[in-house]
Amino acid sequence: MELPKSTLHLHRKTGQVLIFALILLVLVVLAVEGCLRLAVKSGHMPDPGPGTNNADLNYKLPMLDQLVRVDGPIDCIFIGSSMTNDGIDPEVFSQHYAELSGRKVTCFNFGIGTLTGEIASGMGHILKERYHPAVLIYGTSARDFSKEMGARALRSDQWYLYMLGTWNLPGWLQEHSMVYREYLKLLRDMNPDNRQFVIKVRENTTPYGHFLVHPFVTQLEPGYSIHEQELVKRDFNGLMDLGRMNHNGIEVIVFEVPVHKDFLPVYVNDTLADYYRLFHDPASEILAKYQVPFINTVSGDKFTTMDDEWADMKHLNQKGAVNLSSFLAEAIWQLQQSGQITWSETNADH
Amino acid sequence: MDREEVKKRLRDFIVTELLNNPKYQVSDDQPLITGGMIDSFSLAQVGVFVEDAFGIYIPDTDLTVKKMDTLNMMTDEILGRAG
Amino acid sequence: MPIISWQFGLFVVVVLAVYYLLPRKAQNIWLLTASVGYIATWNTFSVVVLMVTILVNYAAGLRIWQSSRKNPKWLWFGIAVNLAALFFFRIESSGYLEKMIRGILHITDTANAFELRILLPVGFSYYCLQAISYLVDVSHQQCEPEKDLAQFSLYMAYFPRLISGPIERARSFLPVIASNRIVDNEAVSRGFTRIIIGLIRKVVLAGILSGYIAKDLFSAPGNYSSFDLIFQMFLYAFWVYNDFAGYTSIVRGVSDLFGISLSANFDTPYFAHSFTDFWNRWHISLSHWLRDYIFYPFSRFLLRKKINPRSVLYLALPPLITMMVSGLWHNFGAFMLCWGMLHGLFQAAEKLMGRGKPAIKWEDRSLYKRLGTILLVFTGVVFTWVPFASGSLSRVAGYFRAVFTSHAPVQITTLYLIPLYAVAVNIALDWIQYHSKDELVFRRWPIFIQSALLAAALLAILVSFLGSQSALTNFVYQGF
Repeated sequence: MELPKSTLHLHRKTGQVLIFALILLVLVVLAVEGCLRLAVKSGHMPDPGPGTNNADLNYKLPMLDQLVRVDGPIDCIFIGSSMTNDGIDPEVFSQHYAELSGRKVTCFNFGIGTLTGEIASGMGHILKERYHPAVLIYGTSARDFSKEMGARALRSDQWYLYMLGTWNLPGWLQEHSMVYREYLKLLRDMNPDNRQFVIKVRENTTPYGHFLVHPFVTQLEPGYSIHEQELVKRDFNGLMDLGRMNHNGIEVIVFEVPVHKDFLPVYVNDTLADYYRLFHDPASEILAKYQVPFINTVSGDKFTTMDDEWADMKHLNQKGAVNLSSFLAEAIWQLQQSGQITWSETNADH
Repeated sequence: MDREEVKKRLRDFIVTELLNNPKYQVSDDQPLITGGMIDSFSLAQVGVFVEDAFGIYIPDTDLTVKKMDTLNMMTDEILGRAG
Repeated sequence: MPIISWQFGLFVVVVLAVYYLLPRKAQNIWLLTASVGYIATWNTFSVVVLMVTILVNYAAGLRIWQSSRKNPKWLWFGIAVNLAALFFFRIESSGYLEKMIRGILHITDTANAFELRILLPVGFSYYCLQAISYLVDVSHQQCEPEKDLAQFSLYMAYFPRLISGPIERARSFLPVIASNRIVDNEAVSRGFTRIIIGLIRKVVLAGILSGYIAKDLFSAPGNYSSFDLIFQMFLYAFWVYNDFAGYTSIVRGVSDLFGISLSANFDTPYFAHSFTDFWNRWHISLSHWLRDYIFYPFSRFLLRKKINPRSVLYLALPPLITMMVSGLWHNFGAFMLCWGMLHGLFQAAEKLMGRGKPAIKWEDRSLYKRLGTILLVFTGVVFTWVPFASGSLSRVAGYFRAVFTSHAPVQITTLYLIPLYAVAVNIALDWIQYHSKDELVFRRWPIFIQSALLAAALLAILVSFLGSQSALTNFVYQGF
């Protein structure tokens, strides 16, 4: 039997179904994308957020976008872990700063739970590129450098990587496609824990990103002491990276988020000396190298708290947040007065 | 070998031994395996029956739906091997 | 190179492009080269084992044909070599051999220095069975031995089916390899439809389900309520099905694009009418291999010895033996033996309960009886997945103990709507295929509906692929 010369025998109508399907897919996706964008822009629907693996980031990003839309450019952004999230009230900060300086500034609290030093650096870069604030204020604590206390899921998050320059399709879609973001939100909403979390944070977060913590409990938390072996070099590198950002189109300020005075002696390696040796002094050294002001709240700068300002040994409540925010406004004004930082007038005036 | 004789003997065997219903009417083209009436246990019995009744060996790999689903197919298989 | 990866996609595109341009005679050599290259992406050891297996079975096949039928020594030699290799690799990869040798070497005090680490060669369990069936068929003169080494090599190594089947028979597959191939619109349509269905099953459905099956279900069953434990196995049943059936559909579709048809391996198994029928729908190529080379010979042997076909011996022993062999083929562990035994017992039980009763056509049964039977068989199958998934007999015991004694609170929430949607889609897909008796019935639907379905499928596949890459690569049947 003579073998045919070629194997492929296709006629003109090849791929008809595929072509129609692709056209239909593109049309439907574009239509839904258009409708969702209109709905979000007109306020009929909340922005679903980028759908990262960090629940705080997912609701804070659209919140900040909304604030910028309403109030104009943002002057300063606070970053840090939940300790910052709970402990800084940007409205109190801005008000106190305005009383001291005569200048009105708009600030946002972008504290996100589980943040570590490495992630602080990444988020600092992302927020700087996205919002161009004049000042970035990082509230740090020893737990930011502990592998036991820092979940590092964001390191592998596609949106986070995309925003830091590693192009990937999911990250691109998370940033640019409302359809994809809405899809991710639908998936998250299937989880009742996530739904309850979103309801709770929406009810208790101000438009400026501050999470209002009301309860007052003071109990020593056993086992939360950070041990020397748990400190992570990568996080100190993150702090260095933040330091390098200083004076490159942004002023970086770092402050030490306070912990309850009864917890401080056991916070790191169960000794106060190690708190300084393993966290405070290395952090100070790194920041000094890049002329980043490091505002102490544990010693030296006379920041004191009462017991009724604490939600637990590491988190201030609403009352404590007012205290810390006012203290920081004063501390930063003094840094400006002494010429250690320059808060650009162009960014601040509106 | 007479086709109708082979078919009759097969039919009798199937309704009596496999279907447990001597009065059941099996048509020549009724799917027995795909119709859920007989299975591999039964096909093994068919194989041995055919050996005993007709002296024909149907290999294990030919006791399949493709070759043995209906009475006609079974008969074709037997007659094909009988030469 | 996993099947679900852009690298495999690129590999197929390149191999196809060259394949279409080559003259027919060179196509088999190209496919063989591609197949060897494909297995080399896993590890070199697998290539070596494959080549040795090919040479041994090629030579054995020729010898069997030349020797007299009354002298099956070359057949037994060939089978013994294949089984010995399978036994060795199984026992070694399970760690038993190393433990045994360590136990011996303890006497000489060199135990700690001893390490025996040999991987199970990729696809060996599958092509080993394929080789055995070839030798038996040649011996029984069901087919002639393949004299062309390249063609025989391709029969053994053909890459779409190399990793996890389907297990092809020489009688049907060798002629396909030898013949000319035409890839027309029908073949392309068939191929792409199978690939899309496969991706839906493996990437979307199995991908979703894998995210909801607890990883510590068997290591810490006490953490879960009885309801959760049973629900998890229900999800597992659909996961393992879509994972494997999805793989098979993809490789069959890829093979269609080469103009080479591979055997079906799944036929809506969870719509099975009986436990026996289940094995005509699940991993069909393996179950038919076991039927043809173990079940039938053993059953006919008993019948020739005048064992009553309605006796317990005839109805129980062949399915038990066959399914236990199947269990051991999957894994050399007591838990897999348990899995096989359960299937054998279920088949024996339904035959024993039905003996003497008149057979009734499936369509003549009432709707409730049919539905009831399907659900009963499905429930039994889910039950058997427990030892299959557990990894050890003690975990099986722990699981069932927890089912009856757990006081943990029920964890089922609205979150489980997602895997339930996946199960619903699976059932809908299977029902359409079951009812129409055509796995590709969608191709006969109006073009607009086909396009809409395809658009939805592509979107689901893309979104799933973006969302969970970790669940996509290796799957449970690849370990066999």
